[in-house]
Amino acid sequence: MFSKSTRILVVDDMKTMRRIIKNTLTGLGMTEIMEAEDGSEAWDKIEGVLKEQNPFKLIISDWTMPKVTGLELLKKVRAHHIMGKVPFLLVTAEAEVEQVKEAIAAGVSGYITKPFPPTSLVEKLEAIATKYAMK
Amino acid sequence: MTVPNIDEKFISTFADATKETLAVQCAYKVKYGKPFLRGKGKAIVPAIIGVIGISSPSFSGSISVAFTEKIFLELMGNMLGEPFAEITEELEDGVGELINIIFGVVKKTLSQIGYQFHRAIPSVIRGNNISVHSVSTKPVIIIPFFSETSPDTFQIEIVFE
Repeated sequence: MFSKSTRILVVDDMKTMRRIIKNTLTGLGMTEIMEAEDGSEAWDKIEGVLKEQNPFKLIISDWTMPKVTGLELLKKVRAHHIMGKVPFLLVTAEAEVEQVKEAIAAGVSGYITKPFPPTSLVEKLEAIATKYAMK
Repeated sequence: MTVPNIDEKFISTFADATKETLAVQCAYKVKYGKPFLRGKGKAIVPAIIGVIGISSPSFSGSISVAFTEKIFLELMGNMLGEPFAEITEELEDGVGELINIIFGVVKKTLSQIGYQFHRAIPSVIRGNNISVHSVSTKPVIIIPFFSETSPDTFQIEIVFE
């Protein structure tokens, strides 16, 4: 699993879903969790922590959001010279086959479909951690 | 009042999606009863309602999920893993997220058989003794839901435009 000091960004326009994800992460002992309400604010925070030389090591983002969507954020992250390989988990309520294909093509590390219990999120994180060998 | 032509598949998918969402996201098991027209059955007096507008070839109108305070606090407590004594401003967001998730399940299910939807951003109505559609002259179909473990109930309200 990710280390407890892994810096994580949780992006969702719904406060409740951010709280659900954050509660699951804090339950795992994670302490460095930041939040953003949409892809635009997320990008600002990504750039902000890059200036501090302490970038996010994991991004968990909703797909459907105003301004900049989760998919658009993913594409922007993947195109960045420093952030390009950071694990990126997409959360979606409307996972259709075409959407999934689009996310995979854009380089998503994993996705989880709402509704989901906390255990499913933990399993997804474990799978991503294994994939990125971040134990 | 003219009773609209009801797409039964659409209504049962919404009811099933609600059941699934609450079971998975809130660890709360429910069953639903036979839908009835407003005024023709026993409806609850909700404390909080999440409303979403939908347009599609098979249905145009709004769908609401209406909860009493007691059942809503229990759902939020299960979903967020902590107890709540009252509906705060922060908790109001939770009913919007629930209807978002329910709609996502419906869309995924029905898109597989050719349905297409457009929807609006959910809105939340809160207060004592409220009903979104109490002054509406349009037909309202109510689907009653029952907790599997307590006498608590809530309902979905479907309004045809």
